[in-house]
Amino acid sequence: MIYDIWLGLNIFWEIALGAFPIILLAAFIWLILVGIALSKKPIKWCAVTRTALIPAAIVTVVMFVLFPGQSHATLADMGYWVDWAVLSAIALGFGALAFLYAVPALIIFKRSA
Amino acid sequence: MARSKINQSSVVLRDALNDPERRRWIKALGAVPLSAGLFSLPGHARAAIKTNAHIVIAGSGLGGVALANRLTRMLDGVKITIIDAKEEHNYQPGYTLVATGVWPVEKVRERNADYHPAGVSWKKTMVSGFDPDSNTVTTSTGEKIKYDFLIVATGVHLDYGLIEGMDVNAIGQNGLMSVYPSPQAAVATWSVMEAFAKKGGQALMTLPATPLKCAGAPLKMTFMLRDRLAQAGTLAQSKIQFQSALTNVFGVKVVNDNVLQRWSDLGISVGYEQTLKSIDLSARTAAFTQKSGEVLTVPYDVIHVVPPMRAPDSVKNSPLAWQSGPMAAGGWLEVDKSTLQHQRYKNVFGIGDINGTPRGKTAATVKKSAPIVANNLVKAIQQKDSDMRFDGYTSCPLITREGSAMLIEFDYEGKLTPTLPFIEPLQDSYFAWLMKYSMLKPAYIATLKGNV
Repeated sequence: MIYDIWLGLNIFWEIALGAFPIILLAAFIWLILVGIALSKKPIKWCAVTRTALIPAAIVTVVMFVLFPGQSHATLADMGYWVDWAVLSAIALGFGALAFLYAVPALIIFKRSA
Repeated sequence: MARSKINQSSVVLRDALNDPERRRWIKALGAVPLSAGLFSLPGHARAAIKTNAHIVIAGSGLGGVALANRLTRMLDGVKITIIDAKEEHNYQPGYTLVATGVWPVEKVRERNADYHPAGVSWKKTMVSGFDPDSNTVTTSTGEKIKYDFLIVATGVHLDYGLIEGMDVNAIGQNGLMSVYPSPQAAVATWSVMEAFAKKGGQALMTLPATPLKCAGAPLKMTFMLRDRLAQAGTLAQSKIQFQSALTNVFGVKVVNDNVLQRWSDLGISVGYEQTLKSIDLSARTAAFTQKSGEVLTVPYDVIHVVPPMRAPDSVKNSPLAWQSGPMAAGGWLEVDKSTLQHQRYKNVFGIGDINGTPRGKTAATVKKSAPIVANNLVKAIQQKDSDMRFDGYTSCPLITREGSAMLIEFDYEGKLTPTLPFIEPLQDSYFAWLMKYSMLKPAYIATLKGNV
């Protein structure tokens, strides 16, 4: 079991290395967004996070529908409960990422408006 | 000041993105963080053992390079020599994806130099002979190299020569397909399959009687050809005939039965004990020797040829090969199936496709056996007995159509050994396809680096 966890970590590490420039760029943009958001006057975080759930939900739904196409598959290929679970987890992962970007972006937008 | 720092960072980022050497740099980075702190994780030595032994590794495929990386970390002062003329490193498990139009060919092409550990000596030639009685290998340039320990990782010889009229250079012409020899052959195979799918016709798929590397590949090609015909709408005017030289199509009975049921449902016919004897490329006919000895000539529009396989001459004609038993005819390496140590020459180990073991000529076999061979070789250096055993694990993500596969894992006995027990091995799924499409190459690279 420890071996399989280690193998899984290595797989994700190698995938990340393949997308290294994109990950670096995305992290850089996120840090800039967070930096600018933190420099603004404090606002009600609850309201912002609630609003950020909307783009997060949209991204989740969009990725749920579109992700199989990125791997030469379609929703019709989901024939096993594991397929739905994996696809849901992937879509939720992208949704969570969207949430992380949406929160600082919304803070900047609301303070600038 | 802050703006200046942001600008500097932007320049660094832009340079990193544009750097033509970035890929190699990233690969170097890749070897560091996960391998430097491996501590007590599976397959990694806790402290390097001092030795001045000279280890020769014949072959720099997955097995050879994975062991070079592992042994470099496990042994302090060791001298390692890799002998292989091949500069390009091919991700061979991806050939079926290239040959069926799923992957671009670039995804199976890497450079061996990017994965060799620092400090090893690389002889860019081939081993032409093994003399284990004098602990010497001879290269194709005539050089004799002495060793203390030898790892045989030469892979297989594709014996297309046993098929009269066959020409590897003709793959891609006159309806000739064969996924095995090279990335170029895989691309050429896809060009034939793509053209065939547009109009349909008679397809012949062959299977020889010898042990095969990636024994699932002929089945994957058959499933995918059928799927391409269905996608193109030409299935009705097509017929697929699978000609097996054996009495089955896959060595694991439960998988064999499952595949045959699927093929029956899909309208794929199967002929047994039909050995491809010769092929007339211009006339598009193939002759099969049947069990009775009679020769049956079959016309085709496309044919997928799977070559008989055996050990390369350098191993087959050496004392290292099996001298008797079922593995002797192919000249396979005589290793103990559990320790992967040579039965008669205890300073010789085998890894990968060359091993004369009951099953297992896949990258997954190497992934699971490389730590065992490394451990047992280190024990041999310490003059101790091998203490790790290999169960013959292998796996085959058996593609059933574009977007779906079965994740088959099994051991020497043909017993299914699923890594994820909650996933039914014989259930085709998108998850197994996603593994094949996105995750198995990263696992392969991690194996190559000696990290898993």
